[in-house]
Amino acid sequence: MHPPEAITDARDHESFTGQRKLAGDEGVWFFISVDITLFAVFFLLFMVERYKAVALFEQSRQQLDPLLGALNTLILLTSSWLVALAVHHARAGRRHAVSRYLTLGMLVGAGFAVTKVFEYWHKIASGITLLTNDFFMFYFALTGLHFLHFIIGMVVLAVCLSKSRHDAMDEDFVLWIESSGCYWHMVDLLWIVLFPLLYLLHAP
Amino acid sequence: MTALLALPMTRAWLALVAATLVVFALAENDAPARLATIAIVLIASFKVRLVFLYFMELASGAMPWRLVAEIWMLVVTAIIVGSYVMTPH
Repeated sequence: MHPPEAITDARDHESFTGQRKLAGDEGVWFFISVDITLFAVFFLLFMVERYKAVALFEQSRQQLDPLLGALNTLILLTSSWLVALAVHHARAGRRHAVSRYLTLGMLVGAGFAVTKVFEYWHKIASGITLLTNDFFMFYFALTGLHFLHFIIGMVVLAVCLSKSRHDAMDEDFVLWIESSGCYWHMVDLLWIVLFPLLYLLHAP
Repeated sequence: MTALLALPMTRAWLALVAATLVVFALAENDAPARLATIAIVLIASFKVRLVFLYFMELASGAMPWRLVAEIWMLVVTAIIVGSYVMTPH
């Protein structure tokens, strides 16, 4: 008689010991693929509009602070790394390490919201909104959509943190935290593209 | 500490932080803007690949997702660099 969470077949065993090839659920990977493809279309639309009005886009871009963009890149990279460490420890069943790294990952990640809200507030206080011009329409729409992904990611990480304190450190939990981690890394990699796209495309 | 440094995600994080600092230095200095900008986009593509391979763990070769990730990175790079080069500045 096996306990309910017993490893019942080879695939589950591979999943639990971390030897399985894919980290996370196939369904989550399908969602990630669709989501990043949608963002790729938005990147293309941005570049097409930039082509049509390069002077306006350059003048508008210069009103953004690349230091804030770089800071947010470092924040998300570090948060992603901490979450990757939580996944690593989850596979070894180290409950306290998982909770510690998830908490740190969320705390560092929260810095992104602080910087972004400051940036939005500064722009709106200067009279710059979604309706100012095409560049700022893209700026607010793309960063806003990304910020929505960020908030969903923080909620997903909070659920993982709660599960890490109460649930068994079994293969189901490992799949949960791997899938959540992959979603969080997607938030990170989308920002890695958005930062140069919006802040750093100089027009010489 | 040594064990932490030996982990692939830690090495990737160090490389990603270093690449971000290089990008910021390129953006802030007086290098020819066109070349510097193309370099910045290429470094960003390299960073995306590191995230896919070592944070999302596609380095293990999980198909078809590894292929999706590599193609996405190449297409996005081509879109941005291609459009940037074609845009009359």
